[in-house]
Amino acid sequence: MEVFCCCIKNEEDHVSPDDIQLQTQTSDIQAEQDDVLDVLYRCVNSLVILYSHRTLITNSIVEENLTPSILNCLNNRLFVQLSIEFLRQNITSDKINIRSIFFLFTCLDYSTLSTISISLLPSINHIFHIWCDIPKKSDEEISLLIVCLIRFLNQLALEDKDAIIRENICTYLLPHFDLLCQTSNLIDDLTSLIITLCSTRNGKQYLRQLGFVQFILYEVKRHVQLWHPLGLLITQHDFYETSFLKRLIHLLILRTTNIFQSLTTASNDTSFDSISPSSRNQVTITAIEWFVLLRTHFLSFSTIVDELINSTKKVHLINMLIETILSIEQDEDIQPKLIEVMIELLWTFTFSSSTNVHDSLQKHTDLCRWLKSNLNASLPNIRLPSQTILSMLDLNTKIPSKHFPFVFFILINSNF
Amino acid sequence: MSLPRNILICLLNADASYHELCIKLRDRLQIEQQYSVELIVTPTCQSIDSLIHLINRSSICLFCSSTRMKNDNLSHFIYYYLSLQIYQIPLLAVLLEHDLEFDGNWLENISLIDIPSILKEIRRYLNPQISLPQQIHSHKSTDDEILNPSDNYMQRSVCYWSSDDVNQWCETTQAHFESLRPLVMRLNGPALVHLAEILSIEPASMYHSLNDELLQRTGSTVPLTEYVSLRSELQRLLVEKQNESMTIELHSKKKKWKNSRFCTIL
Repeated sequence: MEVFCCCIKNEEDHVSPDDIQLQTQTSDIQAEQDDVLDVLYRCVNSLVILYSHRTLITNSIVEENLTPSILNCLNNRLFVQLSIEFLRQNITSDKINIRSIFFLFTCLDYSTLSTISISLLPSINHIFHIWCDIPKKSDEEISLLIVCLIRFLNQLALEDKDAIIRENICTYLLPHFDLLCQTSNLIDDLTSLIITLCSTRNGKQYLRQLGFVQFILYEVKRHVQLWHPLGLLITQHDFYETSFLKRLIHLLILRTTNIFQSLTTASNDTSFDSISPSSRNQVTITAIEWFVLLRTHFLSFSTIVDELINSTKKVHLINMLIETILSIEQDEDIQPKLIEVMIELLWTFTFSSSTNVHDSLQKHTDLCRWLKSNLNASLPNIRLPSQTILSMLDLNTKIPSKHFPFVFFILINSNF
Repeated sequence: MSLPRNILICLLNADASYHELCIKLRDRLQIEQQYSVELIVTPTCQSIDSLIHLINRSSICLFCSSTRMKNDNLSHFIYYYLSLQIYQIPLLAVLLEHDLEFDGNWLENISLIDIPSILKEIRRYLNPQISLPQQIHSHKSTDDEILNPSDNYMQRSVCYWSSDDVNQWCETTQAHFESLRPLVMRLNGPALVHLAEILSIEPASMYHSLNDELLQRTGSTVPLTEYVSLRSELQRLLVEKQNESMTIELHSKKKKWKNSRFCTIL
């Protein structure tokens, strides 16, 4: 059945409902509880089959009768009880009954189908709470149930962000945030959940108050997907903490220089068997995405711009940016969009009050030559930044500041 | 009152999704107030030369502040250019998004105004002698919010206060921190919040910093009692505003976090 397959597809020993019947006959332990469970499972299972049946999709019976019936089953205490048993089975020798697993995942499958599953949040909250209290080993894998619940939450967040905030469920993601990030394929759901919640002021404040910024900063080196939520969450307030700013700048430089290196390698390597066109394309797409993210969410803070310019101990970022631009602009196959976003970055850096940046740019005569050659470019996104960068450089080095505006105007109009 | 003549206003917009709103603003200023207004949509700009020529002729420049504008280099460039002029024209940031955070961005250096107070602020900057409140009332005939400014700054979040609002607030505190007023009255709302945050984090070092700055500017020092008064007034103001916004936003919803810091919420 479809609803089962989507949740237990990773398990090799796929079990069908017939097997359950078989187990019911062979097992005589806890018969009474098993019978209740069996009835509930079959009830929910039948209802879900009916719910998803195409002939009933537009029928009012679904909304009026089926959905409330299923919700009544799901809001039964048994749902939470079975979940806890399932979560505990790793630390106890007891094996949870196979029907329990079916019941649990049927509930979750139903929930993902339903549009009114927000009412399950208190139960999910309870399950997460218990899960946090269960001792875990550092190398322990995250339970499949928790993985499913986070995916489910990600879907719920699209429907009702405030409900998730009200239930304060995200607080349970933090104690084992590193383990969750390491769980295969879960990082995208986690990232998506945080981004969705960040889309409102209320959601951003909620996640900030829980301390997500610090947790994400710690994990972003290993999981680059987290850069986007980090960019959405940070505020100027975070930079008052010196260690935070120091680590952020270090990681931004690391990520950016890696991108520069991959671009230069891809651009310079012309041998047939080294880099395929598709992987070159991928390098370019990754670079464009990173530069846009860097510009939009991080360089909008003057503090970060200044720190990146002045942090020259290990690598000189501005020099690398200039060298990379000059290297890739010679490549005939390069996408114009990449040049556009990189010159946009360079333009952003020139607004800094730091004198280092103007010195660095001024020393690169080949850069100035290239910028001048862009003055007649057809693309405004290349022509305008080139023109303004050149004028700002000339003025900062040659003209006394009190005459700046007048000479600036003359320079602009004379096209140098 | 004589109608304004030969007054050119530059209206800068970096976000196409606010184009309709900006056109409406431009038309109101042009048709009803007789100003000449040039609406510049920076992403579609083709020539720096004509742009510079235009802003050189302007009497006032309005930056329609949005998330896009925070990252718009051309708008930033215009600000950079104008701020270096020998004769500086007034620059105003018109708040288009109520959730917009300016802290740490170049836009925080520009006086922030909301849409209802545009007319008031333009008149104030162009002709400081004009008695403002009476004129605003005379234009309340339409129900459009552009011409219905809210004069009561206490009804707005501190983040949306202008430097005038901060001044008024200073007056209502009955001179509890008189010696520090020359420093505080120069701030707008976001800067005031920023000051409160720094005061709560680094109270001791901020005392010395403010003392040094005041000594440099006015030759006098800050009495410790007034410094403490400023801190407590700021804290009281921000907690009040926080409670108001929580009441409005959450209504009767239960608060889930109890130990929140006011500076994070604001």
